[in-house]
Amino acid sequence: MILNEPLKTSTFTKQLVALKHRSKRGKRNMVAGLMLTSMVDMFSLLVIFLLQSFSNSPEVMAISKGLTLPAAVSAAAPVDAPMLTITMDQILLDQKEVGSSATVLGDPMLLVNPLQELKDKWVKAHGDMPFKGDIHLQADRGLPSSMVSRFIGLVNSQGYDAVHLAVVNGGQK
Amino acid sequence: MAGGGGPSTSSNGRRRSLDGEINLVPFIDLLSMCICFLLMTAIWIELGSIELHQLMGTAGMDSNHPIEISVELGTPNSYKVSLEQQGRILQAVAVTGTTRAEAESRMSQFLGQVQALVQAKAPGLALSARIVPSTQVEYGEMVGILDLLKGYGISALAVIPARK
Repeated sequence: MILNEPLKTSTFTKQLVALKHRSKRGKRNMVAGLMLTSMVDMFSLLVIFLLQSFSNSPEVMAISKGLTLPAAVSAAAPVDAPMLTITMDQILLDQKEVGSSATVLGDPMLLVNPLQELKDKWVKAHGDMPFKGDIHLQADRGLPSSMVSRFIGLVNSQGYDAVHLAVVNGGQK
Repeated sequence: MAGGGGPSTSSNGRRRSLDGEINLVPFIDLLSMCICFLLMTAIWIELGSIELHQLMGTAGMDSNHPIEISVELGTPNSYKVSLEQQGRILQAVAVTGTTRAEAESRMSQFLGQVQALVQAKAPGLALSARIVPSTQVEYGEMVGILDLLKGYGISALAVIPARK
């Protein structure tokens, strides 16, 4: 059936033929060149902007997996300090697992010993400077406040009296 | 003269153009990869911290902050707030709300009144605050109260550790 039909030129073919005729008449080059210079300029500016914004960003904190931090509006920039993370099922000190919250609260030495080690390292590294006692505390916002406060008490007992509670700046409460 | 600006002549006598074109394609590739890498490694969530100044061991009340606000968290959206001076309660109120936003709004009103009162009686006097946590109240709510207190310029914040 198809073979019996006369061959018809499609619209696209017609356009191509017309373009060919026009190019023969007007001698116009159909190969258009892209203006790459402006694109390179734009890319360079983007790279410079991104690098600049990264270099200006303050101390970076890594958020542990499965942790939802509380939100706050009047939070300050984080400082360079060890990080104690309290999730629903585990306690981490500088991303190293210490144990579950129940085991650590049952046997505080599991946390006290590494805290003391970190403190000793800091004192050795800073010589005669008095220990600042800075520590970051990342805790899931769904945890009971009393449990988190017990960990605050635990770190206080080791001389960490400046506890920085990690929050999301201006996030949803 | 050597180093002149005119077009150079090749050995066969034909003039070569000095307008050499730099191949921009690898340059664009490199820049695209840089942009992708920087965007992928960017941290989009801005983190901050609320600093607590915990009193250590047997240390007494901070003499720089003679007036203290005590917030006792009881049940969700319900707090007992008291204004204390050297252990003596000056004013105590119960702040409650059906939602957390309502409770925080009422708490904010109370803090505004306290701030106005303190500024009227003793201008420049800095306040301190302590939070007594509860098993029924979530940590997120406690941080909300701390954030509110900090928003009113109270920087000396402490959390009383729960016993059990």
